[in-house]
Amino acid sequence: MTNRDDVLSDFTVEDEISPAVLKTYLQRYPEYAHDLLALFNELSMSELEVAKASLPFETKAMNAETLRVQHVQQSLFGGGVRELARDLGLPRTFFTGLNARVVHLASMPTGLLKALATRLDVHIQDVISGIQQGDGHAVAMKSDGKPGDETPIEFSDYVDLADLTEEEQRALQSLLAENGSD
Amino acid sequence: MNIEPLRKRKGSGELYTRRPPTIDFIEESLRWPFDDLLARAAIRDRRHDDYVPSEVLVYHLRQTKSDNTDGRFVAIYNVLRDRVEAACPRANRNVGDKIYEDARIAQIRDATIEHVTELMFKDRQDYDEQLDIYEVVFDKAVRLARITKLRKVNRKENANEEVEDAVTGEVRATVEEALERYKKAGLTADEDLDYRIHLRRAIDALPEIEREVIDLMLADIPIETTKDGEPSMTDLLGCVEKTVRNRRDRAYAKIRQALELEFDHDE
Repeated sequence: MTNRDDVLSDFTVEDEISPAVLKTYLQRYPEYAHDLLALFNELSMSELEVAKASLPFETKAMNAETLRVQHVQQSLFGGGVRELARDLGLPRTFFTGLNARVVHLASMPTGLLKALATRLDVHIQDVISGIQQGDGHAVAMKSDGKPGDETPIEFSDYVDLADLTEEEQRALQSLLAENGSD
Repeated sequence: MNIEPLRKRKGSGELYTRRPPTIDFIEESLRWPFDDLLARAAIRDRRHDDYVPSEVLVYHLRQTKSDNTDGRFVAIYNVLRDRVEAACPRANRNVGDKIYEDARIAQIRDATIEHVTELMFKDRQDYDEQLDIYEVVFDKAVRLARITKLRKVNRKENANEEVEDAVTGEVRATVEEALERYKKAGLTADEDLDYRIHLRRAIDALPEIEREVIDLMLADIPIETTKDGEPSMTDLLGCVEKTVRNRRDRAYAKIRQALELEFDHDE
């Protein structure tokens, strides 16, 4: 086994991160010396901090994150949805319905979340937060029930209910196929 | 309830296994109603009696796959997302009554959260062995993800190879003694913990090329060797002996200075 990620992963789950263990890995995998040394320092820092139980939760960096999540909300549910819908070739209602109260968040394809994150220049976690928070209002859906009465549905059912045209369906498939990986 | 074993295998072929305390905790937590689990999961202080380890929460997150709704998944995800953030080095520094954020540290932290978030969502849809490590050593797994992102940023280190004034024998002796003291105790032993934290912080603050030499010294890797099969610093780092010695001496001087500053500050 010479896969870099597997070697680093195995090193990480060792019972003890010590110079002696580092040495055995360096002997076995000298080709990953720089990665192993960087990881050794990182894990040593982490282990010492945890040992001291000195890992208080930092005050969350809310400013930047809040702004990003607001951007997601504005793009999906606010004034930005018109532009997003036009750019992606999907109806506006498709995006305004991407709300955790309408669609099971975890049933949304990772590809869609990544594609939206890339498109909006935010992180996946910001898209997820935006979808969780929604627009703060009950969402009108194609349903006979009153707003707020709906039980979240699977993403695949949501797509079925969205009555997309063939062209819109192709646009959605194209969006889902986008490689948003780094 | 039977706790399914993890699926990822080490290079040796051995399966990844959860630590015994994690298994005990999972068994106990399986008896709690979900709301109780969630209430305890919200406790952020690791020293609190009811604190739920993150490894246990990842196990429960993966169990929500059988749910018809994702309310439980999202609730645990939200807690774990915060735990990932907490396991990363702080990006905020308080200066007076103002909070400053280090943009680079924040950027790497956000990329790390994104990586783990993606893993959790992918695993929800189809078992992802990469998430197994988070059930074994959560904090370290986060740091592994972080270091991968960190190295991608390809930081331009503030270091050069110029030879500076040679360090004195006294500086060398002091730092070598400090490194020996660091090596003696296990990393997590209570004894000397503050001292080792101070020293590790000093090492962490070094430019990467100097830090590598110090960690290789800790691992008893010789600068050069004639023994077959034994790695040397010159081989591992791909540089000549003189360069290694220069890096070591520059690191010594910085460590000595950092330790003095740390202890002066504490006093």
